[in-house]
Amino acid sequence: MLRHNFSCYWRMARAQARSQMQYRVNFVAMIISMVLTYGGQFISLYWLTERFNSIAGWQLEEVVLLYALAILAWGFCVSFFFSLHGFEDQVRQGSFDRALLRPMNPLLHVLGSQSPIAGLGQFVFSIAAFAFAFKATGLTLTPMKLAYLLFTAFGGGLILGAAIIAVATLAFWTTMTYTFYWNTVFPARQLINYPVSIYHRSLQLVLTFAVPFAFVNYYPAHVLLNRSAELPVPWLAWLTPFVGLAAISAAYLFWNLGTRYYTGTGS
Amino acid sequence: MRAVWAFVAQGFRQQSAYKVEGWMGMVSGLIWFVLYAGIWTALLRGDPEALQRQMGYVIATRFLSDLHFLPTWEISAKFRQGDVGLELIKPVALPLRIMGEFFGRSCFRLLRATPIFAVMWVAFRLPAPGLAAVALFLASSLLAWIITATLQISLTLIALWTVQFDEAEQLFGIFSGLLSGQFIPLYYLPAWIGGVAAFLPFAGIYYVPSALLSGGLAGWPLAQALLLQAFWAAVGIGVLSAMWAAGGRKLVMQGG
Repeated sequence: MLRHNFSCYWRMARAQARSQMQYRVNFVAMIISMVLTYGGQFISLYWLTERFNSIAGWQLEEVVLLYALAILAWGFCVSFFFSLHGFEDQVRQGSFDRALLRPMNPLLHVLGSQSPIAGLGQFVFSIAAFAFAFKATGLTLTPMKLAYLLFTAFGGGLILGAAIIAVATLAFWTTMTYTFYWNTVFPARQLINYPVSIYHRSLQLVLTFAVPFAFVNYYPAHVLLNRSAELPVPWLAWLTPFVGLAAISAAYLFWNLGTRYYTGTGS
Repeated sequence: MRAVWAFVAQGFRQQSAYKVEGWMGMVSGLIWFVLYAGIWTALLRGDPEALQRQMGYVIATRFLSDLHFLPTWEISAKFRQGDVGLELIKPVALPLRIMGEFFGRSCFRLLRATPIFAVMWVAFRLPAPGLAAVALFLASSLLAWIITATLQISLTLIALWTVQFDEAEQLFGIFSGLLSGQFIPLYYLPAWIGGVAAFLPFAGIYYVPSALLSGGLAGWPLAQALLLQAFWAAVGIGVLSAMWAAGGRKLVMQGG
């Protein structure tokens, strides 16, 4: 059953990718505009650290590595989960009926309605940012660290994806997704562009246990920068993939609960 | 002018109908405030005076963010779906109507959020600004809104020539994010960039009103900045009028 669902998802996603590639200029423009947007934030970071030397003991290249990790994880999330961002339209117009009637998992049906290469702009930027950060810090990317980086980014993508699924699920009760996404997940995601240690302790706890965005980049960055010993609990840095799996499972349970409250439009 | 006020009132009522959006907007504002407050506290920990000024600056930028809420995507949807035809038969020009409605919506958002800003101001034990400073801040905020509204709506009007205009808006967003002082005040930018940015319209959108309220701008530099802000507001109005006049001639409606 699982294999059948993922096979259907993969076919749908591939068709979406082919469809997106028909508009090549648009696709390239999208990548460029993404890189420019993140580049703008990079410049802000550069100006800040040039003026103040460091942010809470983190040098520019270290903050850039933190930022690159967040964007890489976000790239995974955009590629696989971002179709849920506009899920309210499907609930309001009743087109979610289609997903419920087809012989595959409804969530995967919704996720398959977008191209899996939508996060390419994020990947391009994060690779460039990693290259800068590794060169500037003098660290070497060993095969072990590369594997850790990929697993961590995937886990981070799952954590962010879980947040998007949770927000999309609220549409079953409120018929709203955009409002919740832009006012909660989007600004909360910006919090992790900087070291979480700059915030009040209570917020650090929230970002670790309640909305575990700190696992997306803050804890893993300590491993990549050989700073794990600075963490109060060093093994937290190795938990990202597990936290990602736990978060996505919890979000999926919430989604299943929400689908019970879905009512079609009746037309 | 009465018609414009009617649109302002309509926008105000319209925004008040979106209750969840209003509350969520306040949640969002708080998260952004926590982010900025965290960063500046980390950076200015060793300089209490600068930190206090910066907290006032951050609160002012949050106020302006609520004021500058401009859902321009609603205008482009009108062009795409052909609803602009209905707009053209109304006795008030579309840009003026849109600006009136957007301003009304921003006023409601501010009405709801201002008590929170006041509480933040008190919570951080910031010195109470004088009445004159508050009046100047409000006047400067209005100019800031005119600059950003006219320029952003002008960019949206590009949709009259081409269906693809997102990139222009995105570029505006990038430059505005860097040079408007929304995040980093111009006095913390590298000297030459801050010097150039002070003369650009972006500075009038966040930096001038926020620095005015927080005490970062005073005396002759403040008068200069306000004059420049008024100049850019006038330029914005001119650009928007010209774009609408040219775009109106270009517009082709599909017969149904």
